Amino acid sequence: MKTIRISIILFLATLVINSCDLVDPTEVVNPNVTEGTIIGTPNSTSLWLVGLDRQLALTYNEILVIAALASDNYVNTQTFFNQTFDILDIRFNDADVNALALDISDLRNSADVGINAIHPGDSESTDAQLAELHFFRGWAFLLGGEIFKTLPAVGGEAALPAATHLANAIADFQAAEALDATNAGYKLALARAYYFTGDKANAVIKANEAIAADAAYLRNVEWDAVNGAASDSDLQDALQDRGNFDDLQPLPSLDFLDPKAYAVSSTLEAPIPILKIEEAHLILAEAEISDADLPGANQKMKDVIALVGTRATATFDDSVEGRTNDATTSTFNRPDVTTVTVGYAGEAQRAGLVLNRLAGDITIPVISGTSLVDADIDALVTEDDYLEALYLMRQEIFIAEGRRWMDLGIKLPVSEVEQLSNTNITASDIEAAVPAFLPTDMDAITYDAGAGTCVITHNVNAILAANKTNAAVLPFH
Amino acid sequence: MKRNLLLSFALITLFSFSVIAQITVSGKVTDESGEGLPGVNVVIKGTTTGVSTDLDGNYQISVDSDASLIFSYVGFETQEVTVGSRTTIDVTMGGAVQLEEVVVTGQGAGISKNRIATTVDVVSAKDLENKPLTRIDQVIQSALPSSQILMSSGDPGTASIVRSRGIASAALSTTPIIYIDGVRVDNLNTGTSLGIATGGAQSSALADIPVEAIERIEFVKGGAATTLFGADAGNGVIQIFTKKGQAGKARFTFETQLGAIKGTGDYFKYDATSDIVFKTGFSQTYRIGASGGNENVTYNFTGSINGDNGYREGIENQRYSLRTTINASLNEKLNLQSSLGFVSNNFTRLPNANSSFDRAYGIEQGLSTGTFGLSTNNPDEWTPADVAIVSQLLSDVARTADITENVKRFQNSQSLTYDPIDKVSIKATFGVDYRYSKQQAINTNEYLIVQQSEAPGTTDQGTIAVTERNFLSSTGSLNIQYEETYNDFSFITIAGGQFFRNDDRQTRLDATNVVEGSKSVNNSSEVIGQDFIQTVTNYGFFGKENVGFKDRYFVDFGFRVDYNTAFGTDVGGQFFPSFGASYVVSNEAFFDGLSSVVSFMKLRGTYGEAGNFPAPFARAANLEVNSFLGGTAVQPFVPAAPNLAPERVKTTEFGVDLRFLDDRFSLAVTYFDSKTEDALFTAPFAPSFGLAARQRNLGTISNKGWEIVSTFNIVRNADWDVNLTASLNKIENKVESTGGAAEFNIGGFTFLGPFVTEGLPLGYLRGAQPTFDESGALASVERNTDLGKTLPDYFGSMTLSATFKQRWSLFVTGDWQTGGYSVNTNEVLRFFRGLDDDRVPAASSSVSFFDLGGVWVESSDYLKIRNISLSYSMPNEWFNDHVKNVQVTFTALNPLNFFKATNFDPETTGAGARTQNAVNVGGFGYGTFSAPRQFIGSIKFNF
Repeated sequence: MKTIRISIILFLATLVINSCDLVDPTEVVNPNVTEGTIIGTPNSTSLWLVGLDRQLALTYNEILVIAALASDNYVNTQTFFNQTFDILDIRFNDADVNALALDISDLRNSADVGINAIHPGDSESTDAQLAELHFFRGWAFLLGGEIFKTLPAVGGEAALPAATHLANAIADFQAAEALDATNAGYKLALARAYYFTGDKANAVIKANEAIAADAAYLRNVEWDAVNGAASDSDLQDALQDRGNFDDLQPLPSLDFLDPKAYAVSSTLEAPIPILKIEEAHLILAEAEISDADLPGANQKMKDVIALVGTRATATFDDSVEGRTNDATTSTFNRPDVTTVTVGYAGEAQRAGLVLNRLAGDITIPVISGTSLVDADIDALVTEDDYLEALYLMRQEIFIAEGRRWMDLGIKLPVSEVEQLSNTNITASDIEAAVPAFLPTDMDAITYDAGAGTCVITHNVNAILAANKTNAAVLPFH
Repeated sequence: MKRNLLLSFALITLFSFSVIAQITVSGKVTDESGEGLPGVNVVIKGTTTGVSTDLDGNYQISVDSDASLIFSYVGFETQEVTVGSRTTIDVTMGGAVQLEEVVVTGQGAGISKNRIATTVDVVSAKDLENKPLTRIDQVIQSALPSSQILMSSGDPGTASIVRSRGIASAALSTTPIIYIDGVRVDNLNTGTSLGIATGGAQSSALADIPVEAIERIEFVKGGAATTLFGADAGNGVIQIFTKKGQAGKARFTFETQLGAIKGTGDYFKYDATSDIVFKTGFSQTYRIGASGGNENVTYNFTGSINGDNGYREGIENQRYSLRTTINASLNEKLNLQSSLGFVSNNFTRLPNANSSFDRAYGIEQGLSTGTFGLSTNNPDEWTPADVAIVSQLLSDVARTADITENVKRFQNSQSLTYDPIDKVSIKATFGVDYRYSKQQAINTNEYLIVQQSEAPGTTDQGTIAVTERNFLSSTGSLNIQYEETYNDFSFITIAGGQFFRNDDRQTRLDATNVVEGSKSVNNSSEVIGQDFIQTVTNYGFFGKENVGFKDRYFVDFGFRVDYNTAFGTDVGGQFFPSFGASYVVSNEAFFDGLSSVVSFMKLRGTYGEAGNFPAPFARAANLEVNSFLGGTAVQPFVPAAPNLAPERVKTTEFGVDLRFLDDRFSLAVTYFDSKTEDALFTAPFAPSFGLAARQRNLGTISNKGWEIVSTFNIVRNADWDVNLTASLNKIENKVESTGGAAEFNIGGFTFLGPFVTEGLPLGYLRGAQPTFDESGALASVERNTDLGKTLPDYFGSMTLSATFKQRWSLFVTGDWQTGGYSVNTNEVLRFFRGLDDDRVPAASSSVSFFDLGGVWVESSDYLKIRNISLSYSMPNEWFNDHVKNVQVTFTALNPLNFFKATNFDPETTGAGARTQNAVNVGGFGYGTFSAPRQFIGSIKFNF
């Protein structure tokens, strides 16, 4: 009897223990992808490169809006985007400084992991993919050097000067070029990096090589307007969308180029060029001006105008963007009809620069545009005339591409978060560099709607030409 | 054979009739002072037949002469009386007149409140009577003396801030965890991970926790009192007990509440806003209830339908609720309790707060003249034509907007209590809470055109977003309680184990270029899907020993050891200890002389720990994977965190409980010192690492303060009973350490937001503080400085209750806070649009608002009367036998608001609460309508 009882108890105990398999409440499954599931798997490099494309979009999302603000290109009329950049008050504790440093480091770190862990473990990886990984890491260094005064190149370490970042960028672009010798982009990237380091000889060589490799070269950052707000174009919101707080308004002399960031359709936002062959011509022109070869520069600048003429335009309804949002305050009152003329204070008024967005579709250049024609180039006399015109071309051609602040010599400091969590950061690292000759109200205008005239207070390109020997600007001078 | 049986039956029946007579018994039930006791249950033993005494304590019942009557009433000993030949039986209820209040939450099992060293706040069924409220946080608002409940928005079903003892965690919402009949339920009081943002108002799971059948609510604050909940209870625990019914004849109730809802314009700058936006809404509620049973089985059922058509066009809600609880004694030793509830909620919403599509509050912030064709953006100067334009705009927005939310929620609890021998009780509980919610926002082209976001004629910008969340929480627990006495010692020993598992699954679909008129994502050019899965299991065991000596000295020791699937892989069981002692001084012999003045005095002190577990899967080296332009974008990982542990709230508290003058005045004073160690901070890494922020055990947060609660019995005589309860709480909160990490943001805006940094209160407002010179020009700006803290220094609540002749009762509740700050974000927007007041001097009107943050930070002091209700119980003689009692109540909800802030409600917040279960410190008065006024008349029939 006792045996039977013990058997029954054992049987029930076994049932209870077995039933635990059915109800184990501690089993949880992490739905995320972890490190171990990607390294060493075939085709992991291609997934990683898509990740880099996305990170590039995130990085440019941060760059483009604040770069537009920290320039004379755009003014912030009522937005929650950064406002102090608009008046060139750039401090280390600004959230945008930190966000941009993080995005650039993320791009660098991601490319780094790609080069050192993902690519070597991927049995299907190619040299072209490795070249792209080097390009992305080089691009992170390039942006670090172009935008920041100093910046750590390794997590938690000391901030290095811009020149070191540009040298790192050159090393990576060279590695990319070695792996994929026919790619015009790597040559053009090298030309740009050399340009900013002031290495005129190498910049000219690489600019010429790039033109020879692909006379219409263009590389864009692309947006994903469907998969969440992070990777769609903030600049498009800022420049074009209305009915919200995101209202950036262009300098009236650049009105005809706006909005380069526009909604192509409900699921597509216009890509923004990050590298295009126009830059090679502009480098060559600037090199010749600095060599006092003005006739040579004259031709190179006409080459740029000709090239720009071949670039695509887009025609669309931009009535939502509007221009004169609210006549009740002067901030919102902007030129909005084609009859308005625009000119710098003390200079001639120019016609044809302002579009009417409420009178049917508008047409704007989507890659490059300039208001200058050959006759304007032929009218140039002095070196400063040439430099002023060249920098106007750069301003127009690179509008909304995050480039103007680089030409203005504005450099960001190391961020507060970096300083608080990295003991290697010095007091000098957290100071921004803004050339003293730049007026803080660069985008100031006086618009007389009745007279149909708009006066831009400062001719910033003339200021640049006048300060050409300042180390912060015009690298070849 | 059959014939014999029939004959026997007939004989027995005849014999019975000849001996047992049916008689009518009546009488009066009184307490020991001779006062009639209304509502005493009088049940014939062994049956479900019974009656209740009327308001004067009288009853009448037909019984057999050999029957026994059982008289039962909460707070008194149950009495059994054999009828015999008597026709009048008067009963005096006595015995345990001074019933010691028994509390359960945090104790493992029921234990007398006198024996414990921690505080437990209790809301009784009586406190809840006649309150026309449908959500748990509203129910406890003003009712818990040492907690704050701030309604972030006046829209129905939206998130609130529930907090006590400061802010113990920067990692998760301050909302306590919630148990119903021993089963943990969804307490998500923020937006969901994939939720649709409509601005600031986020839907809350607290809105559909059933409130109809609540018998009692217990609230224990985090730390010492919640040790037995282990790694889950740093913010405290709310436990709800549902009504189980009382033995006796079935009692039915029917209640109807009809009311008017009127938005409050107290906080508006412009009169036009109220006139244009608000309409008088109509609310209706119907409730039915049934309860009864015999001494073996009792039951309680409630059902309700509630709905209103909103205080403004486009805001509506309907609610349906059912709950049944059954309590059964299976035999002398075994008791089963089962409760099951269902709630369905439907909400219709509009964009609000941090949404530029909120045109209604947009009036207060300056609508664009150009966009809408207005002569001015200043509503004070609007012409009739302007008013017509805006009215039409609001009407068009409400007509074309299509934002809905539906919730279905099932919740149940089963518990089995087994008393194998005297002094030992074993209780097993199991239950689940299942909550399904669906949000849907359809933005048609017509809607976008109405909003002036798209040009007229646009046909390809329509979108639909749909999110669904399925949340299942399962709880199981088993505990054993053993009570023993030895000479002057008494022991209560509790040991047990508990687990819960939360499974949160969300999906979201976003369709673009949706064909106009479609309600389905199918009719679109592109659909993007996302999902979210989060599972966590917490399990552990606990023990507690409570020792009493001579009924006046008590000590207790407790612990819990917890395991959790969110802990790092190197983190094992976590030990949480507690220790407490209390001394009931008034039970000492030497106190006898004082007892006429001080009727009760207890000193208490305790130390204990509880925790909050980390976010599930935060410990893993997760990669970031996104869809990008049709490809799979994989981005770097954060390093694995094998040491990720729960944050630990360590609380020491001391207090005294006093009652004076025969308990007519009571005072409870508690000092607490709470420290959260290993606080989970989602602080950034140095940006040069290029890594996303991830939870780390970095910080130390301290909360110290006083809790003072007092009750005054102002008048007590034959006609009147007037009581006032008031509380005063003082809070000092500070982030003592960020563990070397840089300060980080927990909401708000770039230029002005709540931050976490060393040496300042958690969620202090960081922004620029400008100073102006005599001419009004900007003299200097101090950037990223401390502009004030969101948490108040002091807060409290008060309740006034008065009854007259036991027929009339008046009930007033309110609460207040002082010493905190909030951002007048509406005024920031008015500044942009040239409608600002003079706080920014004219000479500085072109200064960037980034440099002006400090001028918009204002005091968040307020005093709000939440509820005034007056009810009348009609005399029984007005009705026939079937109607036992009829009660008529008039209630005004949110009738009075007093505040310092200019033109914004310091209680509402238009920012934060968006990230799932994230901490929300409030502090942003931003385009959010406040809780509307409601005037409700209700009538309740008891049958």
